[in-house]
Amino acid sequence: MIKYIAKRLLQMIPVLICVAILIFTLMFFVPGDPVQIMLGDYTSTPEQIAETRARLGIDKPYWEQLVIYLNGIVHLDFGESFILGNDVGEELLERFPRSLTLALSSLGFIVILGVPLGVLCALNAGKLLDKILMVLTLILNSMPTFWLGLLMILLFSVRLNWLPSNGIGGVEYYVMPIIAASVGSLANITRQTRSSMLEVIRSDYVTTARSKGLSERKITYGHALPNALIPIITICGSYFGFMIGGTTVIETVFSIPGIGSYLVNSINSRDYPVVRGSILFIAFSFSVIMLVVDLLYAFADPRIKASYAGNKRKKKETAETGADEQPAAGKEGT
Amino acid sequence: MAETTLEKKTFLSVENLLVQYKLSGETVYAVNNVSFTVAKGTTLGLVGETGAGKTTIAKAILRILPDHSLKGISGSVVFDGKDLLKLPETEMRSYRGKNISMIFQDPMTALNPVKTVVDQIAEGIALHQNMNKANARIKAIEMLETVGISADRADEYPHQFSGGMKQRVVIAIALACNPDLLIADEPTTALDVTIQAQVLDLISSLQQKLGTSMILITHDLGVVAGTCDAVAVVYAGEIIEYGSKEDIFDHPMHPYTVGLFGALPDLKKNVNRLSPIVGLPPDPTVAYTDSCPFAERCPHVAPQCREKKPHNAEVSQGHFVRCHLAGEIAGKAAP
Repeated sequence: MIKYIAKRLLQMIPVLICVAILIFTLMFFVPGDPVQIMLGDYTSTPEQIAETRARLGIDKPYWEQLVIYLNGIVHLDFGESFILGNDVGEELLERFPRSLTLALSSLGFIVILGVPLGVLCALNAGKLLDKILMVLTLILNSMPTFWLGLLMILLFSVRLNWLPSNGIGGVEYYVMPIIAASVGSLANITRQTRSSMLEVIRSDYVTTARSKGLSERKITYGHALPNALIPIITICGSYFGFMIGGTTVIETVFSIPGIGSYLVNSINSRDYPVVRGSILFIAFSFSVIMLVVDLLYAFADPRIKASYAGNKRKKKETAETGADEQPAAGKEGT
Repeated sequence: MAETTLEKKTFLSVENLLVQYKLSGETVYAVNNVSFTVAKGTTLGLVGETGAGKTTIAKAILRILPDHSLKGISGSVVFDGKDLLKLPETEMRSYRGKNISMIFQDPMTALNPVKTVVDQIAEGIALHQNMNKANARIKAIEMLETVGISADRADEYPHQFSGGMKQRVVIAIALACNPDLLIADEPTTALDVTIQAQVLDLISSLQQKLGTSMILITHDLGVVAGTCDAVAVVYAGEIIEYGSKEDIFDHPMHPYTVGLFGALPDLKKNVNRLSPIVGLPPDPTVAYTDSCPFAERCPHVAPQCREKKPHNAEVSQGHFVRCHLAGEIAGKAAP
């Protein structure tokens, strides 16, 4: 298992280098000039512009810039922001906990609420409760995040004045962002749990468990749910990865200084080091999360664990159960 | 079948059991007025083709039929003086696995893939014998050794076992709490022929050791001959012939039973073709209320078979046949 983790961590390196080159190239060729944006259109003289370009190092040819950039990354130096002039790495580390808090707590929210709701739906499949919840989840799933966020601000901040509408601070600042960010995925996870459970509770081993005289609660949570977990873990993993870098909308609506808002602002001002640094950071987080998800699979299903452990087992009886789900190398799309 | 009197004490008696499923709007008549008894320490064989309703009978006794497709269940299953079908679910639970347990047809899917085999056995023991986890585990490992699996494999998962080994685990689960009644639902169907005999021997030897009664569901007449005391032949959800093993094997009365024996290849004769029972199994969505369900396939079919449902007639002591022509065919069928 440790060998497997080490292997996966090593595999991350080429992936991240590819991401770095890709994002560098994209930003290099994307139209728009950071210097123009920094200095404004009319006030600056050509000399000023040339001087600034030289200072930022963007007057050099593509290859030279790329080498300088990659060299920096290898030394964990992500450069300085064009606009703010501060170190990108430090800024990312400062902003990361906020995004992580948001992502973790909304993940917790959707798991704690979504999984039991899905189980409840599955156990009452076809009945009124199930139908109501399914329609409700469909509605929640179709609500745009920003719209829900704005509505909540209108109600809870402007009207009732219960919760702060933006910024960061205590717990109260996170309540609305978490709810706004989670509702869609909560509905999603409820539906996934439901269908996954429905498949499992009709399987033979659940009948076996029932024939032992176990209570329905033990059957549901002890036998059925552990088997239904795999697709749920997948969804949670990709949701979490998405949240780490992709809560742009939520961070913008609620003015939370996290990674997402950092990235969006820097794209607007063509602040190349910040864009590159953020993307690379998001790619790295995503890779780590995917690794964790794969490890969770092994934890949830001994058959997958066996395929990780490799050929060390002497007593491999048969392979009829299959399920040799080879973990796909994390594909970083950001 | 109140008139049934077997010499030994009966402790399970199923009467007028009726089970219906719903299947996309249609009613499936799975079990129709089935009655039989099992005496203490004996084995009853339920024989019939696939889809005849054998497994449904078994699951109805344990009340583990799938809720989502069950339409109705009626009749009575009297076990030790109590009607199981009328018990509240919580009380029924205390019977499952403790007094009555079941071996399932397909060992490949009957075990939970994410739990170790010892956990799956210990679970029932801890529940029914008020043991703590550690003791239940010890007992479970003993059980594994009883069915021929060494203790060092106890903490392995089902996917690490072969089919025959898995079936041994299933047997260990079923017998873990010394049940009074064991229902074995085609315990050997999914296994290799070489393993079948081993598993059957294991079941019968454990059954004799523990004094367990058994309902053995099978479509294999050879298995019946080897293990059963009484035999019930199931066709279209009904028991069409019921009697002691000798009655059924030596004097089969119902044309379907005769056909079953006829379908067995005879090694002594040189035949080029097997002789199957012609036609297809009956449509389970049809309720045969005023005709014999076997009429369409019966070589001896008479006009009355399509007009009237045959009664359950006792042709000799303890031998019941549901056929209008029972007496006549018996003579013809004798080889």
